[in-house]
Amino acid sequence: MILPFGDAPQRAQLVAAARELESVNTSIQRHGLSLSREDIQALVIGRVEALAMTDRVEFGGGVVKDLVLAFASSSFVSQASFVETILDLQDLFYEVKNESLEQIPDEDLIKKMRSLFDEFANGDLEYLAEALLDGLGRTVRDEIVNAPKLGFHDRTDADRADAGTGHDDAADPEADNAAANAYTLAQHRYDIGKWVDEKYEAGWEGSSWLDE
Amino acid sequence: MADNSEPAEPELSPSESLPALVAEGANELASPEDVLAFEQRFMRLLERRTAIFTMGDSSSVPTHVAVDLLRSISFVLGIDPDRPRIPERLLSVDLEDEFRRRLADIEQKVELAGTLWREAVATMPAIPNTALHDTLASIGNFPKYYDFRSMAHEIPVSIDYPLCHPLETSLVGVDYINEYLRRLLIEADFVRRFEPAACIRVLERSSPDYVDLLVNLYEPVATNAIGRVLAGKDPRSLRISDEVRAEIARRLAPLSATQRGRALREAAAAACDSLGVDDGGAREYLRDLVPELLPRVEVGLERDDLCGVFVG
Repeated sequence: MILPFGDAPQRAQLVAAARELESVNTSIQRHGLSLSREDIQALVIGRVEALAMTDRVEFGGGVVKDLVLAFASSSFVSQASFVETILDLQDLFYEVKNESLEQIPDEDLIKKMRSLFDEFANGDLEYLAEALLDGLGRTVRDEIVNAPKLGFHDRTDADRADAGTGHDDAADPEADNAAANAYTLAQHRYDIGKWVDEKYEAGWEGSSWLDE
Repeated sequence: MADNSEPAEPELSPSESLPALVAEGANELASPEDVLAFEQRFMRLLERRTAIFTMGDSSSVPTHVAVDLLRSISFVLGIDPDRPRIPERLLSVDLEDEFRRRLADIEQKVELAGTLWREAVATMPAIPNTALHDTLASIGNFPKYYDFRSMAHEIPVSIDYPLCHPLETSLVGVDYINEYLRRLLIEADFVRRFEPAACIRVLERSSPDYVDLLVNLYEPVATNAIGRVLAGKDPRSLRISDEVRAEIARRLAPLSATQRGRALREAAAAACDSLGVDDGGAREYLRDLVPELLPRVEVGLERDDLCGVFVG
């Protein structure tokens, strides 16, 4: 089995993450927020724990800096709750990455989290988690597991409309669209032929020797 | 307010380390500074290859994906991920350049695989076998599904047809495909030296459902060829009558196990001579059948029945 590195590379990554967080102070000060050395330490350690909990590996400074920048301007965060909120958002972020089967880019997910946080959850992280996990991740997963033979082109408009959540209590229409897009991507991902052709620069023009 | 001093190094327990290649044992080969520098360069390479794999969409990946990416990089760089050592040649090179250079080598290996595959398709003996047909068809799709940039260690095709001599489990990616095809070509070249009808007769005796079962076509044919030579006959007919079988027993029975092994190896070499098999690899391939054949011969001689070894 693969053996572990010494902890030097990861330590270097964590220092990089800490430096990145240090650098965001200038940007978030205009929202009345700041990160102390202890805050940064907590966020970086929280990242390690979140990754371990979700069985993921991350390189570079990670998404924590992006989360800080994305949520600093929300009217539902304050200096008192900011670090705690970011830690929870960080946990949720990695969980949704897993639940959505890697189909949602970081940037899109952060944008979606922010919009749901402000407009649907009113700053309540439990509602946000419900909207994201129940309304989006689960639908993507269920669609794939339970209806793998249903091609997207075979689906009715009603099916497509429900694709976002599969439930009547959809978070919002945007979540529906995001889930529908994720579903489409997932379909392509599981049709490996299309996935390879579309997502990768094929070394051999994507052709098979059988085509000759 | 934020503290403007240097950020502190977060505490990290050893169990939180990332999965990767190099263990403490590597220190035996290089100075700690070299190992540390290598670790940092390797991590940068892994980070970059992960970013390429996710197309920049994600800064993180599930651990199993990271492990796959790491195994792929290891395969491309020629590192055995199960051995906690850094090849010395990698300590002093730019890993990105080395990776790109060796990726080009992988591309050439895939081109070679294409050449071998075309040759295999063109030269397969006219003997029906579902697994062989399906395996060749599947390997034909290898360039379509082989993601050599990110998952170079994978074998994304179905290989059902069993070779006479199975491949080492250490072979992965395109190396596995090339070695499989190389061995398949050796087997096909040997079998084609006999009339298809003669081969089919042997196969029907050896395994009546040889068309649909996962059986190797080379092994029974090669065994009978060796048997014919053991009895002092020309191997081409592949026919082993009771008289031929009795002659084999008469010649082998008085010999010790060592002598029998030598007799079988000599028969394999003589069969190659008789059939015009000049290639060293092909001769060795047939000779490698002897260690598998010998125990079966021993049992057959003990029971005075070689029918299960040299089929009629």
